[in-house]
Amino acid sequence: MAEQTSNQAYETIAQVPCGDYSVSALAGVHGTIMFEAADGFIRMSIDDGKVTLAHTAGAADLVLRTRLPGELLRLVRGEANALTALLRGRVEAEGDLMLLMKVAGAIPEIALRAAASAQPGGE
Amino acid sequence: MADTISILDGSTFAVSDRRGDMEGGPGDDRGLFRDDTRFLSRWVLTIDGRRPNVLSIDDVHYFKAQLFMAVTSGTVYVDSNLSVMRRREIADGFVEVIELLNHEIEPIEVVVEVEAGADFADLFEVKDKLTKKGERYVRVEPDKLVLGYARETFVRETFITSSEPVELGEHGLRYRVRLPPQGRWSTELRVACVGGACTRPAPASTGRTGAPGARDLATDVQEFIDAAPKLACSWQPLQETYARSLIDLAALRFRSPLLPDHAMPAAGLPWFMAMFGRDSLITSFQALPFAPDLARTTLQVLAAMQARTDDAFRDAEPGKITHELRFGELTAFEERPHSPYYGSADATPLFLILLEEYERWTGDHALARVLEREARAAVRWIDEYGDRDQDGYVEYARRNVDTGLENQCWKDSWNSIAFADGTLAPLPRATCEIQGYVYDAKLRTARLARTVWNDAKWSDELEQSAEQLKQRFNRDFWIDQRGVFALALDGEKRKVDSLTSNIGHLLWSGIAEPDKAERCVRLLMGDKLYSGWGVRTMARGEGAYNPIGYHVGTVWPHDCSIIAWGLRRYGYRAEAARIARAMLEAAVFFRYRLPEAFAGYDREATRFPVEYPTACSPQAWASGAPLLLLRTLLGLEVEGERLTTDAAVPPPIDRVELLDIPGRWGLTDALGRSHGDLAA
Repeated sequence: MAEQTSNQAYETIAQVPCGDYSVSALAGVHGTIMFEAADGFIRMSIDDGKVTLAHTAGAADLVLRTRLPGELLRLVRGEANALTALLRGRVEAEGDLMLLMKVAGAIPEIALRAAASAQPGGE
Repeated sequence: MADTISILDGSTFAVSDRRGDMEGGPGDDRGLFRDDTRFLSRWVLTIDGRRPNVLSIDDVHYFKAQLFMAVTSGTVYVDSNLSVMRRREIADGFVEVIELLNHEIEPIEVVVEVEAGADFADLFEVKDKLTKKGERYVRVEPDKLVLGYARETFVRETFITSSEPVELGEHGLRYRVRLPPQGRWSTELRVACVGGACTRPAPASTGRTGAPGARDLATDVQEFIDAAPKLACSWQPLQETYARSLIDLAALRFRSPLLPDHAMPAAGLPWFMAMFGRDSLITSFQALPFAPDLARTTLQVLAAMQARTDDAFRDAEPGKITHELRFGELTAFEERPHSPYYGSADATPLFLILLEEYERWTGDHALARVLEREARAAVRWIDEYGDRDQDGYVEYARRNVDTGLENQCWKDSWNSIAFADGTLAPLPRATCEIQGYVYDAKLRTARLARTVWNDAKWSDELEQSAEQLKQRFNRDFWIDQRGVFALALDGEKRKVDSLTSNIGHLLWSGIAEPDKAERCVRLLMGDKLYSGWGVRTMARGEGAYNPIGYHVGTVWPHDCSIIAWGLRRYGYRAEAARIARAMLEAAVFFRYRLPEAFAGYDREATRFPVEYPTACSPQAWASGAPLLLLRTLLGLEVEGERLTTDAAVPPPIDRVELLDIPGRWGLTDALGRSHGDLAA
């Protein structure tokens, strides 16, 4: 599973590669999610299928935060489901939870794109 | 008379016995629930160790109840000297006022105890009698009793506080009360649910004026009723059932923690106070002429939750409409797939049907334009994923074989799709009514494509596809030997030959050719399917038939309302009126609140409809059924920009007036008079 190997190339959320990715599953979706962890943060902007990951602060429609080490990284990598993490108390959310419902299922695809881009010759 | 009292607001509801006590356990639904978790399973009031006896109950309002009780002496010769009142209102939990009245001219001293406990069971654990995996704890704090549960980071707590000085212990609360001569004493107990999908603060004290937000609930339900058309008619069962249905639909509106700004119909109390795609869609369809906002919200929410990716655990594929969303522990730990779950094959065409019906009724082009992308995705799901083997029919088989639903049609119990000899049909199953929904959905979507989305080419393609489906269906599903449509095609493409109510849905969708429809009508109204109170889900004499089997012989009011509306579509006015009248007569025996289902015994044998033991009540599409039946009696349809009426009102209803019906015309009225030739 080359994708998993490349996924695990980054060990903290601060190392998740920034960039623009095309994710067809998010066509028609607009919004911004901020993932905040003790070891960093990442901002995911979605604009009709175009996803931008950036390590910059700014306004967000939804903030997901946690104190559990590695938890947000698992989310961003697509290894954990955002909604069930929320229900289990592993993550706290503030803002537009409807946006989370729209995006949660597509996070694994975003993660794969991001991981692939980190590889030589990637997206 | 029900042996429980239920109060609710959205996903928070409390079910007690008729004394107000809760003694819930595995398989027993009593307790206080929020977000699919039981935050209180034990709540028992005693006075000097005795439970007061109930004198009278006021549970007119869905969000509060009052119980008038007395501590009796055990003999009819000695009057009770102590009255007890319990007033309970739902809040984020509930608030309960306990009041004692001393009728003696001497002071009396009593010990008032409220035993409290919580098992924090997930509703699935209650239903399936499963055991917990985490740890329960109790904490006595200076100002409150805390009942808690933790499994890793999953924590839920119940806070219990009292307005009056109280002794708090691990098992509950104790008051030593001295009542002056002919005096009174009261305390206000607050039970707050803490933890969940989004953390909410415990309710702030409002003194003794009632539960937080209680006035808003009363205002909210009144506004819902005021906005609905006014019914005037000479027949009490219709008048009363209509009023009850509106109240119950108001009560069952559901605001989930994830979607707090959107109220849509939840499925039913107690097991299904959650978002269900199919139930919300059908209820919204039934209620469209009366409360069109339900449809608007349902469409918006389901569109937002439409699957965007392939996910076998959740039985999701792109374009599929949600089946069910839950928030309990089993969902949180992914021991159930309901986050959300997509295991229904009919919700997607039903979404398209409701979208078109909503636009046609209200003239709300804007919403139809906004949802064009979702509508196209839904059609793609039907053709690419729903039709798994590309044989031209939508069929289902769960991909989540551990915890997914085996039957993904409305008759979703394990034994509902069976051959006439009683053997179960192998999967995948293409049930007949789903093909009808697909046919109807494509024709309706074709109209939207032409008139709203300006895509004549796609409109033509959809119409052509629907017509081909109709021809194919009437050929492949018809069973010559029995003269009936098959219930389904099974995994080996064999015709599942049981006679069931599903054929009535084919009339609603219009897929049945007229000669075959005529045969369906005779079967639906024949004594094997028609019980006298309604159409049985499965005909008497079939191998799997059971008059108290959930989907194999009981009568479902929502099913009957759809069948009646289908009968009208094909011009069978008298038959539709007969079902409508019988259903409303049945409602009288349920205090005008039709339950989810009732037994399929012959009317001649029982003279009253026999209860189905675990039926939800109120239940959304059962509450919606009288509304669709009323539409059926009046023959309400949209033609262009106006509402048309073609009443077929049977005796003993003399006259029906429905005033201020909302729609694309603004508000208008409809009138129907009795036809003697429609007498049963």
